Amino acid sequence: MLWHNPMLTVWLGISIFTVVISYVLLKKWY
Amino acid sequence: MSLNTWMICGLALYVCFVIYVGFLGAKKIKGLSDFAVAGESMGPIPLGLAFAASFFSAATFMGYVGFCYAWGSTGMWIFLAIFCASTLGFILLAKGVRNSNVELKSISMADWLAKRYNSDVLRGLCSIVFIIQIFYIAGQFSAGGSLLSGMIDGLDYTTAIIGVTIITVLYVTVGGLFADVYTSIGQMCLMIFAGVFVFVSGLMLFKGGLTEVSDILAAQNPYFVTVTNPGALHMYSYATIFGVMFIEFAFAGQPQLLNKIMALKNPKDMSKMIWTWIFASFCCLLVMFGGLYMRAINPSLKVADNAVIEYVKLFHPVISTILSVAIVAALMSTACGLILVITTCISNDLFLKTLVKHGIINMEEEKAERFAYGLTKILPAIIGAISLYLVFNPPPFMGVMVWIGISGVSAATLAPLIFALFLPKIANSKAAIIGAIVGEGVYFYLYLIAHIERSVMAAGAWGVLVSFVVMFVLGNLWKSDLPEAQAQK
Repeated sequence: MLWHNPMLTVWLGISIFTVVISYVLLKKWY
Repeated sequence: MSLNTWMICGLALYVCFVIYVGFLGAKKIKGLSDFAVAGESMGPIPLGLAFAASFFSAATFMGYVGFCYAWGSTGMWIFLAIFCASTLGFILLAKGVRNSNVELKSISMADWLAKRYNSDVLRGLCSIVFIIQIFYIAGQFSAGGSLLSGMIDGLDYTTAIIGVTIITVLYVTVGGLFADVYTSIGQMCLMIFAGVFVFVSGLMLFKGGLTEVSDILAAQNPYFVTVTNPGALHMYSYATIFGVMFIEFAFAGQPQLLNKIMALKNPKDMSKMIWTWIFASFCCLLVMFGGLYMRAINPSLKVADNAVIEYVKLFHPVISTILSVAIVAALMSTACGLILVITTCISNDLFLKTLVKHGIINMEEEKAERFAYGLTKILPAIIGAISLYLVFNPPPFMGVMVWIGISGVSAATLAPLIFALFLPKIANSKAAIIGAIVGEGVYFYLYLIAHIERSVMAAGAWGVLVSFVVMFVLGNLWKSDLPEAQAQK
């Protein structure tokens, strides 16, 4: 866990996930 | 120089900038169509920034920072709902709109729905529903009044909201969509600076960085660092978090955002526009960390929405001024985009394309064109005046004003939009009209008439759900009557 903070760990994880999935979708569709 | 002097100079510079861009736009506007379309095609980066500037309002920079101040890190779910769900919604909607809009060439949501369903009744209906966005505008002005009267000694709330309204109405009236998009670039630069500065400044204030902030918060309340917080209004359970995610997912379908997607002439540029949004939105949303920092510094503020104002005052007056002007830019760009949508809807879609076209108002074509163009010159001022009337006494929660507008639009338009894009085989124009009326009726009844549902977000969600069910049942019964389905027959 980062920064002793479960919520901010989730925040960083989902933010990175968003960038990755956006990259994949935009490559696929556009 | 004192904070007051800096604030007045900073605001004066900002006002000169937006008025200057407004008058640049005025040179390009010759008639009604120029007002709603910015003339020559706009590039993906200006449009991506304009999309973000319309998206982020005072609700983001004050309300959402207040969520983090009140509920700790759990408030960051709003960050994720916008950064993740709204981005995916944008990608999905842009794909659907792009494929159909190449031949439809629509410039607004009402126009797109009318052409897609081949129904001017739907066009008129949507135009009337969009007027409820005046509440959204009023919420922005009221936030501007609270912010400026809090930052400048001797300026009262009433004078501040009148000033903010006059400037916004002035530049949107003279500059139309051109002014909306090109002021957004400057406004967005300010907002990105504000978000990044607030995030980084906290790492300087707290020697132990985010770990130290988290430890202070956890000592105040162990739920301030957990994934759900039972004390948080919108994030007390995974179900409510899902609800927030769903509503933000659909947010890109708001008319003032959809018209930015439709304004992109070359579909090949769409991914550049979306990457611009991803970068800009992440930077802007970082401002929410200000709520966490302020909570760690001073846990006893009376009004959570003012956390960002108090945080900004900790720095040198020049920095405080830049950050305050950034918030003014956020609320003005959003109010401007909304005024533009309502004005275009009433003058073009409702008056010209529905009432005059179908002979409900008898007027010669050329005279009607001139009358509609005249409407674009007076409607922004009327909309501004009504907004002022609504918030002449500050409302208890600015966020509620904003959501009355958002929920009101979604309850009627989200189902027709989604069915036409993704379920065309059962999209029926009569079902869309009935679905829109019933959805809006449910929302009005639950929240505004019977007061059964206390949460305006939830009332909007119920309205959307009912309109989906109505469109689904009637669509299966009557089958699609979209132009391509009729061609097959």
